[in-house]
Amino acid sequence: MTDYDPIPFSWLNGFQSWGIICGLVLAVTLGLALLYQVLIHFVDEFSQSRGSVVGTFFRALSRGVGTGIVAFFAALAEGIQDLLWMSPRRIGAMSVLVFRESIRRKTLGVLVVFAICFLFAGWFLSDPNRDPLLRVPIYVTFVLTAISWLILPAVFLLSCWGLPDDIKARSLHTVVTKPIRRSEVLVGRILGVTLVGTLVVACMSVVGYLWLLRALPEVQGLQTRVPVFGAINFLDREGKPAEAGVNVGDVNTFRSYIEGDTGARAIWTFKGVNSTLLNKEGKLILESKIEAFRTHKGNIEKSIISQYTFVNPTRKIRAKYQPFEISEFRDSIKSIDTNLFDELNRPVNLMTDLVDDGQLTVEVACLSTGQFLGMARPDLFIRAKDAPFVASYFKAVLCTWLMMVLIIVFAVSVSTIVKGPVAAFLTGVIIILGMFAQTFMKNLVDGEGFNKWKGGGLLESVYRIVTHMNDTIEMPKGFWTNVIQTLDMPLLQFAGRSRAVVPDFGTFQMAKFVARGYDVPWSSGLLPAVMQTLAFVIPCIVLGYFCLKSRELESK
Amino acid sequence: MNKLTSQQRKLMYLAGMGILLIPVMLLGFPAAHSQGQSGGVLAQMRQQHDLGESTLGNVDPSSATMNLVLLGLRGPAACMLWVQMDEQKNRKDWAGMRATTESIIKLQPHFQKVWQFHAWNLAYNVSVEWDAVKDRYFWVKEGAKFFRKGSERNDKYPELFWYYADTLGKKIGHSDEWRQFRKYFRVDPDPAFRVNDVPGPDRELNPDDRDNYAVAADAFANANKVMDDFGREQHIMDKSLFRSYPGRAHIDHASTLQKEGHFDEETREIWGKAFQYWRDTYGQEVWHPAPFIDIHLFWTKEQIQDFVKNSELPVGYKGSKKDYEVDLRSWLGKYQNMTNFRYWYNKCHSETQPNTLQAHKDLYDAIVLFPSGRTSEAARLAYEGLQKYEAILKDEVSGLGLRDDDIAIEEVMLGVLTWKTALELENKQVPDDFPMRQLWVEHQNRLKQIESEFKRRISPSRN
Repeated sequence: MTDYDPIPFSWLNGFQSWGIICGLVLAVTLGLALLYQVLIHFVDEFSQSRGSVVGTFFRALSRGVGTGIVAFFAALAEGIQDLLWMSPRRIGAMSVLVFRESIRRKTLGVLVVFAICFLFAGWFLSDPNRDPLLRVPIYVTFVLTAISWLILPAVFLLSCWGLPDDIKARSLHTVVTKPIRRSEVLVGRILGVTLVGTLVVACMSVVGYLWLLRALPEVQGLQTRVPVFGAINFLDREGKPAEAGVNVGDVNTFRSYIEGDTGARAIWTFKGVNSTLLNKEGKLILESKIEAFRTHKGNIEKSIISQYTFVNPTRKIRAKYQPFEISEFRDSIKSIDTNLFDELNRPVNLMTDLVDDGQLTVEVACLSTGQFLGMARPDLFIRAKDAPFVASYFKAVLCTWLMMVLIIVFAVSVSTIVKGPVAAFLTGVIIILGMFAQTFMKNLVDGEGFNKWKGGGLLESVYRIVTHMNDTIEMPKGFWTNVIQTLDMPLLQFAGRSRAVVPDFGTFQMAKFVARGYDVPWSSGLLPAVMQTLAFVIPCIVLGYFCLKSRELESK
Repeated sequence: MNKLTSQQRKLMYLAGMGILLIPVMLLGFPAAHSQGQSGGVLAQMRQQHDLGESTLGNVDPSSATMNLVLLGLRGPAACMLWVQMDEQKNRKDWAGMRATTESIIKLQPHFQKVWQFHAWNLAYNVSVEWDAVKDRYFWVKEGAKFFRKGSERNDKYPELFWYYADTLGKKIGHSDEWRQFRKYFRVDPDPAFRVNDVPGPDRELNPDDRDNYAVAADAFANANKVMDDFGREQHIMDKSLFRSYPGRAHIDHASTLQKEGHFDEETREIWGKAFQYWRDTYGQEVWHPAPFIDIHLFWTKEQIQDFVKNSELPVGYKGSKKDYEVDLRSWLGKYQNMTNFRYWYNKCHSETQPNTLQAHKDLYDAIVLFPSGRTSEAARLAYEGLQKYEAILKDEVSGLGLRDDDIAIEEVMLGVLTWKTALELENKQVPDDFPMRQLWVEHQNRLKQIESEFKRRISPSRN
């Protein structure tokens, strides 16, 4: 795949978004809980008071509000205490119970399905005689996808039906009569199901890895690349800064192109460049994946020629690297010697003369007249020391595990307040939306990409539908258009924030890295997955606890 | 009020199920394995209409499993995969696209157009996305292999056999990269095909290490055989054109060898094969263009007269022998024009003559010598070539196929231009009279085009 562009996790944006959403949810929940307490105390007081209706109303109101507020804060304090002072021993006991119950329910049967999948995988996967470069991504993606797709239904059903079944069978009633907090019941159940899931994922991942070794002998000893990405800027054919290169009419607009033998350049700036990035021979490895576009046939036996120039903008030093033919859709690796020559043929050192305060600037030019080279940000990177394939593979499995934990926490929390089928339905909807609809929702709300929203927001769309106005026609300028568009803004923002309520399961899909031979990066791979899991786990446990606490366990 | 007990009701349900099973069994009995057994109704119908997996071609167990497991959802699954494949192609995820293509084929293994679309996509659309010629060749092979796999899975579709042959012939032999592709067909650039460290062909496509056109000719013949063996029609072009392709592959083979500068016995033999196919196989086939009309493309006016004279009029034909002869001649003319039969017949015949080959060689060598500065030698060879050409055209036998041949005219014009330019560079007077002067004068309107071709041929960057 060519549109691989890992975006590093932004702490500021992440916390800001999480804080706003959690704050809003918390405020609404607490407000509703307070209102509920006030109302039930008011009704209680009102029904017990005697005298005139008006007098009774006001008496009940004054007492009810007071006692309601006190009861609310008492419950809140108790809740906080319950959540903070949980006993690991009791949680452990609950977890073991859940674990045993899961095994009894034949959860490990999913391993049989997994085994069947792998037994017949060879039938359905690509022809084994084909290029290994093409086979590795397919096989690796298959293994990682099979793990995540098989574990999900197993833990999903276990999590959704466990608590409601216990409540129905009144076994939970027996449990809560013992000295145990409800928070411990909730967390114990979550941990128990997680334990079962972990066992299954561990088995699947080890078997999957062994299967990969058997199916793809080339995986043994395979290394995964650890890229250091930079930022990209463009110069147009006159050498002036441009937002992007030329669009050559490719359906895929991920890359933009620079024209050969002109002033057009793609300029990469890498930060944090130091001697630790050099390999054992003291060379800097630059890897690129550049696309070609020919406007004339030229010499078809030769590819289009490209050239790197290392630039120190502060000291105005430029050192050209020898021109080379690009190898399209393949990785082109260049070992750059630190001893180079500048344009006046004076010796310069890459690390001391060209790296400017840890920043390395690389200009890429196309030397073939009338031809174009297409590039995007991740198409050129510094390749740090490679990581073993096995490490990258298990990091990807770890992300699948994190996704599983998130689903378990969500499903168990939901099952504290609703019955099994409803919990399963709700969790199922969240999984489907998180897996398949995130991109759609993002495009709809953010107005980016191919599905860029047309026809405005909610109110503008209504106006256009009623007046039969095409989305390509501009709205008539005037007061009412301003009103409509002003009102649409908060609605769109609300829709944007609502999108974040659904977890983005794409964050956990690390096959995109491993299959392409990249190490799973921390900042754009593991960290977003960990943070997203935490972002959902904490509020889900808190809400789940209060829901369980408010639940009458004696009733079915 | 129901007076039956629970047990009685259950027994009745059981009996009902048993009765319902009878038609199901009658319908679904497997196909008969021995004489006297008729098999189930569905099996019989499948056999009758050639709809069984095994009657359509080789059975892929994975494909059959997938179709069974998906039950009625095969259609939606196939649609989703098509969309996915298209997206992957747009994103240039070639590995993913190739894998999705395989999945689609598992769902639609007997849908001819699906094979055709994907194989074409790989050989023509995906291959040109790659810049390196070696990579392009890899995808052309993928497309050809896909056609081949499709024809094995559907061995009664002549179209898939024909497209396989066409990819080997036209795509490898006629594209911009034809020189490289033809070389790679014999010596594959992929190190995986080295045997004892000696590079060789991809044995899946070229097991006997032959020219691409030779393999294509066999494959075209195979497509014709499928039509004959199974009585199936193809839907690519008129049958009379479709059947000519084995011969055309031989013609392309010989012409390409000449374009590459091979003017030896091997080339003449291939022209001979083409001529033989035209005369003995294709020319002898019986065509039935209209009721009561059966013709052979090889027939001449005299042969038709003899045929009409020596045979009875077909039963039911309303007309005289004269009318019948007119009808036959009319249809033969139409078919010969449509297939260009006489032109190719004469051309192949002319090219099989040794003097023709020598004339081509001299004119070719003259242009080859030109860029190296050996102009006097080039002038001599061009002149000799033109003399030989003139002698050929005067000859009743060998000249017949070349007199009005566009390629021959171009070759002669190029020869004269080479000769004249070489003399001018040598500061020699160009004589007013020279061999093939008449043709040169007659086709002066084409001179501009010939000059540009001449420049291209002598250019050092020429592929």
